[in-house]
Amino acid sequence: MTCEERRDALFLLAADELDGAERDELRAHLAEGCPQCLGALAEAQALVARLASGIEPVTAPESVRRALAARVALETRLAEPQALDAATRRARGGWARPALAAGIAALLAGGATVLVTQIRVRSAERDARTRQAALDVIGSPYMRAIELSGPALGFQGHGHLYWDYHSGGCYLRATAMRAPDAGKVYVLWFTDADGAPLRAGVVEVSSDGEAQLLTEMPREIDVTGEVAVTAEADPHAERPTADAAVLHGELQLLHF
Amino acid sequence: MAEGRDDLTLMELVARRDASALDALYLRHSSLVFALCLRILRNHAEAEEVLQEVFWELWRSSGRYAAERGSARVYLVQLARSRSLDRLRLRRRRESLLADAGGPSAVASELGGDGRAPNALAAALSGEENRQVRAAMCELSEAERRAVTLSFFDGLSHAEIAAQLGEPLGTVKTRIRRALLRLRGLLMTPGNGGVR
Repeated sequence: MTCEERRDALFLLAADELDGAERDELRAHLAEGCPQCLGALAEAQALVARLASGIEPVTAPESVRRALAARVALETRLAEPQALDAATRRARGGWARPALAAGIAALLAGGATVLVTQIRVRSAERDARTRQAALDVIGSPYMRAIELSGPALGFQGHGHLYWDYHSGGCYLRATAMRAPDAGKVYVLWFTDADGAPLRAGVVEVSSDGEAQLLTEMPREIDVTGEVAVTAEADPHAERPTADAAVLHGELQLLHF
Repeated sequence: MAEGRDDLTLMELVARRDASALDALYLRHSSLVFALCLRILRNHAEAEEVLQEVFWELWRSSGRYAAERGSARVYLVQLARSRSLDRLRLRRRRESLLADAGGPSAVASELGGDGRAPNALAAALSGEENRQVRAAMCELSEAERRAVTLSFFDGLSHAEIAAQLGEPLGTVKTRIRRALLRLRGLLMTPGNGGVR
């Protein structure tokens, strides 16, 4: 078969209407890098796209644009280890704080260099694992993003909950969050099919108002239920006690 | 500002991890991508998810984009159609499994077998920009138009279309191919937006 004779087949290939031996033969030929056929394929793809684009455009919801922007920003942020490590350490009130640094200095003076190095390595490894796990969740083709927002009155935290329904990994990221009152922590909740609360973990908040939690989605969740973050005195409470949520969203995950 | 750049420049910027370029491409093409997802999936929530998936994939794979293989618009439309059809087929498989299991399938009745009008595509087409596509579609016979719509936009396999139309598989396959090639010929005619 000549390349000229392949033109019809290339158009059908672009339209996904070629199968079996015909498709295999054509793909093998294209894989050889035939410039004439590759050019014809590009032309065919443009024509197929033109057919598809005959549809009248429909304005896309602004929420999709926001979710995409947040996902991109988060991925960029997670890909910068220094920035995230610093934020994570701040959130943890970790070993970089002055008092602890003084303690480390004392340890060093006592000849405990190996111990300090091990602590730092473990911390760095933990940060790297967290970062990679978060990247895995937000980059997954099975990811669903749920928009979270704060109450209409009061401070306005906002962010997204990213759920990889294939692995079960779940990553919450929010900004403009105020630290919880003294003696309290933020807890993430879902609901089960009966509307009963399911505790999913404690959300850490850094001094610059960034909140995050990497956890597993509870298996019993209602995929059309609610998600909320509340301030709790007991991080292991069985049900929320706060009057209002600091972050709230609706799953509405009917299609996965 | 990214908004004023052409698509090729924006794609190069996206490959360099410029989020504002991605946003500019989104603003420029999301309404077409969303319309296509919506047309294939017929479900707003799913169409929104695929819309985000398409632009996310653009963000993740922009380094592999080759301009000589087609414009950004072509790339996005292909991606949107492919991902929407994947999702549609997956949904149908699940519905089929549910039906086999004798379970309830409220969704199946919403989406299934399609009480869709055979000229649904024609109804969806409008606007001066797409006059040529509409005109080309009108050149097809009713049977050809119906078969192309079921295959190209509804993602039905040839066997499914044959079953739905009550016609032999070979007839359906031949009709779709002939119709697509006729469309190709009509759209490539000089003076009709032809590309050669």
